[in-house]
Amino acid sequence: MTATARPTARPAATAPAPRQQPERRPPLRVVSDEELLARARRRRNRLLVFLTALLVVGGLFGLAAAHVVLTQNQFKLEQLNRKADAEQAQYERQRLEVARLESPSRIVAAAQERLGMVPPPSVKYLTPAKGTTASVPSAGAASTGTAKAKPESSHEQAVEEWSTVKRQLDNRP
Amino acid sequence: MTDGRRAGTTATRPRPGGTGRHPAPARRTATPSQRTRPGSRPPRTTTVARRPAGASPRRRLAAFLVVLVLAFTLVAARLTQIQVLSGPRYAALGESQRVHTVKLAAERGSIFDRNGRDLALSVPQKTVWADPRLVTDPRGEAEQLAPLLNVDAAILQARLSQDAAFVYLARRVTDAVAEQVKALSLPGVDFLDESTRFLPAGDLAAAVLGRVGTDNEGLSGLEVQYDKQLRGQPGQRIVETDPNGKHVIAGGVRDFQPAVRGDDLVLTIDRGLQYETERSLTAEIQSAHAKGGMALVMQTRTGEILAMANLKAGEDGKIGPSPSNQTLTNVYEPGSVNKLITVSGALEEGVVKPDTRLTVPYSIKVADALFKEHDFHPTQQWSITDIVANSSNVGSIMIGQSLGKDRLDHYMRAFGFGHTSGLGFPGESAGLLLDPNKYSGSSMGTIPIGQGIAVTALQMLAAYNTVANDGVYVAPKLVKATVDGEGKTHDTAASPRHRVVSEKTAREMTAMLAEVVRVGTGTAAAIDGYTVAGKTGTARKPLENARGYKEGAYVSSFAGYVPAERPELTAIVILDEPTPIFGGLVAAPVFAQVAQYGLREYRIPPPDVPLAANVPKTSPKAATGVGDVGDASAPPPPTTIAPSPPKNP
Repeated sequence: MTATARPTARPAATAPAPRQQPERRPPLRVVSDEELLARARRRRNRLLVFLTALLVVGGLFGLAAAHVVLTQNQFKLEQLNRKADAEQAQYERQRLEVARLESPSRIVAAAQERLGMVPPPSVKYLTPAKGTTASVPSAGAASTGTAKAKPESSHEQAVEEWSTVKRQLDNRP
Repeated sequence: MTDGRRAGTTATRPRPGGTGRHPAPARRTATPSQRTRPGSRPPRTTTVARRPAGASPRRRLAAFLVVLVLAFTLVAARLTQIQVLSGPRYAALGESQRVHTVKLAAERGSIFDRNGRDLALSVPQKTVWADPRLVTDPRGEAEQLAPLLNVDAAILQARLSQDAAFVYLARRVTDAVAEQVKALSLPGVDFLDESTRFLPAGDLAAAVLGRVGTDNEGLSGLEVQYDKQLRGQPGQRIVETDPNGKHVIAGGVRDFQPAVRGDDLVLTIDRGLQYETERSLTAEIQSAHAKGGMALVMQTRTGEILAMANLKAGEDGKIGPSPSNQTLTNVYEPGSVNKLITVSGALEEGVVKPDTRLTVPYSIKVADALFKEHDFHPTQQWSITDIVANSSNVGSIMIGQSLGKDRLDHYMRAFGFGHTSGLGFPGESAGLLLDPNKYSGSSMGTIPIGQGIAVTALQMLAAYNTVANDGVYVAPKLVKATVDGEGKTHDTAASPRHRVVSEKTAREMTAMLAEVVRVGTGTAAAIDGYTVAGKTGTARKPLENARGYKEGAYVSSFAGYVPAERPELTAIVILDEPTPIFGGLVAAPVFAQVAQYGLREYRIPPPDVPLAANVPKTSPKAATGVGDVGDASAPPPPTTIAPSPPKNP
């Protein structure tokens, strides 16, 4: 404690020596500028200490809060990952189901037994006689036109569809 | 500051008015009396008096210091030992308790047909496992699990009582079973996902696709050939977890490498045509009581294999997929279908012309062996077309002899015999061709008619495809493209090709083969509205373990292409020991059914172009119908070629 504060505090604390009080009291004097400056510096220091303490405590609280948020997000991430896994497994299972339903043996059985369909005995192609104009619709020409295009395009389409799906699989963190 | 002063005040309190300048003497008397509780010890004053003033506290202090230093040195030494010397070991020990590497299995790539339809795909299935350390009641749990998992309770109990941290209870159970087990919520029982291979179309093309083992590794077929690509790259996650290893500590993910999904294969196979091929072949194997059969369909221009069927009749008469892809792994003596090469070579070399007439007797002697036609006929003046259409053995041997063994050998190799097709299929056979220098006297009697050599079904198909493709050999192709982990499609390189015979020779040969189907031995292969070119074959089957041929056992085949004027599809059908034996009766109808389906599916109209004009038609008189049977009376060739056992790693 400072020198000026001590005498006022003493009488209350130490009752047996009240007589000594007047003797110990320092004489009044002019406080120098330096002393004032030192006191100001001390005050500033105290403020600094207080602020630093506040900052440390605040920082600790902040850190704890951040950790809580991190933990929460971690749980959320785990949950989402699990969900993504489940969804992906579901997708694969359904893909298998679709492939099974599409299998030729099932289709043929369904077509022949349930729907009473039969394979065509033969396909007749009609070739237009020479000199026929192009505008006349002709079964032969029409089917020839789509001949190669169809299997190729369905292949392209199916593989393309898969390509977009495939990119989404297994690539999450 | 304040505290220090207060402490000083307390210490000096008993000495009134003391300045604290000479504390030692006062403390000597005061301190012991203050510290010592009454009655616990004899008063120390005597001891104190004996000591020289000032020596004792200093020594005590020194001793205390020494002890303190020693103690701290010990602590420091131990600390150094733990932190510095054994530091890494303890750190690793600690880490091993909380840091776990989780392997992330890569999903195995799928196999698609040419139209992107699934032929083989992997789907994760639940595997039930347990940590026996956490199991409280092995017997009770085993009894509850046994009926669900379909595993004996005693076996389960033994596994649950093991001294281990991980035991499998049942691998790859259905989702329904997994749900039921989960509902029991037994302590220590847990699940993990394991990828399982499915063939959604059943046994379709099973021998081509091959099988996958329990640990997701390819065992046969394309699955093993493309195992590296299909398998993908497993990833890993290094995480800090709780002691059970279940929950990841917040921010505990140290490293994450995602698993890279395996590449997918896009085959050249057409699922619809494959089904139709297998269906027709199954029906024929059944009705002809054959031991098995093979069929291949190829796109003429590209060499892409559209269907690859391998079937076998089981002990119980049920027809199912062969254990291996026999169209590539097994060799057979082709018989009359090989006459294509003899005649093409002779036409190309100018040895004969389509209208060359040969005097063909019923039998011919080559070295010491006598070769005969299957059916008797008087000596005839036959054109080359007649010889081909009637599948005349004697005529073909005569053509082969004028071609000579070296040129015959050259053409057989140029048409693809004697070496593998380049598909790289596991266990693929190169076939067996004798070196022309090692031919025996009778070799030039057997080889022109397709006995004494061995080829795979694919090699023979590629040979017919060469003629269909205007004389240019195209290497067969089975994989059209791969799709990488990013979903990008990479087309495989186009098949290598080389010219074997001229376009003219190919056209002439085609016109002759068309006669085989029009009036010759292969009329059953005809398709309404189209011209089919092809050749029948009925070859004798060698004994499996000895020299010579098996009595009454034949391999019957038909190879051809359609439409003959501008071929689009090439196919071969082979039946193992059918009844009747003739390729024209058993294999040709299957060819017709399969080719008709292919023509319809690919919408191939009959082309409006004629066949080669310089080839004479078979005279109705010459057409005898069935004559393609390997000469039963002929002696076996010096080296009988036994069918090689399927080699599938």
